[in-house]
Amino acid sequence: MTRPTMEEILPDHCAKDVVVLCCGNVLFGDDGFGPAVAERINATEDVPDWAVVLDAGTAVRELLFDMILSEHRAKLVVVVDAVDLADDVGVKRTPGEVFEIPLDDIPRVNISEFSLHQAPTSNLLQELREVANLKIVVIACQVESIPEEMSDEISPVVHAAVDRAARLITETYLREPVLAETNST
Amino acid sequence: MGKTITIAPVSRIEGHAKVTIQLDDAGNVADTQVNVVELRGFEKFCVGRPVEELPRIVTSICGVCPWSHHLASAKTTDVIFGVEPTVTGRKLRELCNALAFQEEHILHFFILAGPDFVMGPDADYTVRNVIGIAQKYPEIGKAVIRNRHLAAQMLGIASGKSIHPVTAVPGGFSKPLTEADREKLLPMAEETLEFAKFAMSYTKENIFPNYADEIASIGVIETGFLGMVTDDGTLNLYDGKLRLMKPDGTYEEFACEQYKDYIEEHIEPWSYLKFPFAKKWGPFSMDLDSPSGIYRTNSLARINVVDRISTPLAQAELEEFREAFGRPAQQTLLYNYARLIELLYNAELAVQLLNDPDITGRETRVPVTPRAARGIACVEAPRGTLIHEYEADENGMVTDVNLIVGTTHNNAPINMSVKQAAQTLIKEGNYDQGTLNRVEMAIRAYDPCLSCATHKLDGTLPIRIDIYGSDGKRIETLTNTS
Repeated sequence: MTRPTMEEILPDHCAKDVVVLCCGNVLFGDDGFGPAVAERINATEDVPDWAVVLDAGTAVRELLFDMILSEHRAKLVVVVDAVDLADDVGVKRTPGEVFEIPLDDIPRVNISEFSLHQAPTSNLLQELREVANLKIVVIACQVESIPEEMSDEISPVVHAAVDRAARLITETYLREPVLAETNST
Repeated sequence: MGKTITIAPVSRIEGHAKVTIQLDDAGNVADTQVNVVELRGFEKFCVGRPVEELPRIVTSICGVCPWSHHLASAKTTDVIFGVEPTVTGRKLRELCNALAFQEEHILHFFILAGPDFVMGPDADYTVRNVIGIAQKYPEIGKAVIRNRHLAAQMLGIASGKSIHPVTAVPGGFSKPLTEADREKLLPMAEETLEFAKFAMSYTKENIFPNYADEIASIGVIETGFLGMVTDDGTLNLYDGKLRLMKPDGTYEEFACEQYKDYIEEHIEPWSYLKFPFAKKWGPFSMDLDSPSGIYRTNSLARINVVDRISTPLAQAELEEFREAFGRPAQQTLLYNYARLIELLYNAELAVQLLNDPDITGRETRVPVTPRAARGIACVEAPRGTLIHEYEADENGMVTDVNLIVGTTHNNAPINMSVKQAAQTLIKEGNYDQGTLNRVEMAIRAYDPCLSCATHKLDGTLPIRIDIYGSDGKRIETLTNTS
């Protein structure tokens, strides 16, 4: 039996220098922002071979577990997700607003998980940064609303934000490999 | 009235999975309730769409077991269109199922349930996780990640995509497997088999013996079991009939399209999620001393209901398991043991399928034509029997959808196991974090899918424990958020 080398089996999220993880559930309205950004970038931009833009859907924690445990890691991870900070005191956001959230502003949650669905992504991101010494950027979009029942319709303001976010991510993180190197230090 | 302990996670889309423990005046457990969220609006979402779209849509329901929904849906559309997949199409589906089960079971055992056993239930949450395992046992951590990479890579080669699969289609599989890809996959599958053998023997020797007391006590309840078998009673996770086994080991069998003749759904006012039960076993009751109608699904259920396993190493493990724990085994923590037997089975099965000449056949699907029909099909998902039921009109557009997922089958047993665990562990009002961790172990053994829709960025589900006195006023709030 010839064992494949690690390089041969490494998934893109562990093999590429820049990994863009677009999170969200396309069945819950504005929560589909992340996957829509992934679709837009992959359809309209030339993603360089040192980067990957993934529609992580609702499986982001599996990918993060892999990235934490793997000896092969990205230099830069960009997480793209929908958030609802409209009612938060001091950080009021308007629907469709795209902004970066410093990872340190997301509280680490002391939690024991019932299942993978509840594993706290913020903890995993901070763990990933600590064990891997890599740069993590969180790009968020303020939702207009999240429907209580399934719907694949993104609100017009968030839909308009998909283009802006796709351009921002492409221009900032997917143009020059040296940028990733710089950001990782 | 005594006091109430509420373990109440909070999330964005009403994804509240809440555990309430009611104490009596003496501080002992009087009652417990576990609320598990269910996805709402799926039926409405699907109605009016082309039925062949559903195998692709359902993969977005759950980021953890998309393949199970994908395959259950593809099988249901086979019924709707009135076709039987080609031999190669069916075997490619089975191969992907075996690979997805491996990825999932490695994940559950080593990343979710394993830390309780490897690090111990009293360990602090900061180390009672897979990162703690990786730091304490780096070689195991490396093996876990390598084999998860292998399983995902194999799924990618076989199907093009592992996260949101699209290749199972009505009538079969959309993409044949080339001989070159088969040659690439085989050594990978052989390597994951080696890992499955290691995982089985390592845990039998080094982990489970240390937890004999917990296995014998935590969450133990007496129920029946539901799982899929072939006509001769052999384990099959992709296709077969359903076997419903009573606690005494006697059983009935039925085709999945007859499920409504055997399974009824009970409603409790405090839970969104229904409580399926065996309707022929009498009225529904979760009373621990005299439960009625209660059955369980998932790995332990499957290992209990089958007469045999078709692969030799898993069959040997089944025999050893039965020798040690009897049939049916009722100890809830044995779900983890059963999961490892299934890991071994799926690893063996993948190698078998990759050595099967049919797997590289070029005929992977049959053509389909829309017609008005109702279709019911099921697969065994990692969390239990997964039933999809659709109805389509003469244009092939969806008019009705119903799903019963593994966690729903286990709703009543999860509630009963939590009650049993809490009653066993909490006495005279005395409990601590280690106690609550053990209560959670009983839940975690079922690997419940609490909510497919919640993945909040700021740390999904903080747990809050509210303790209420007999006067209804809150005495104390314990929180595990920092």
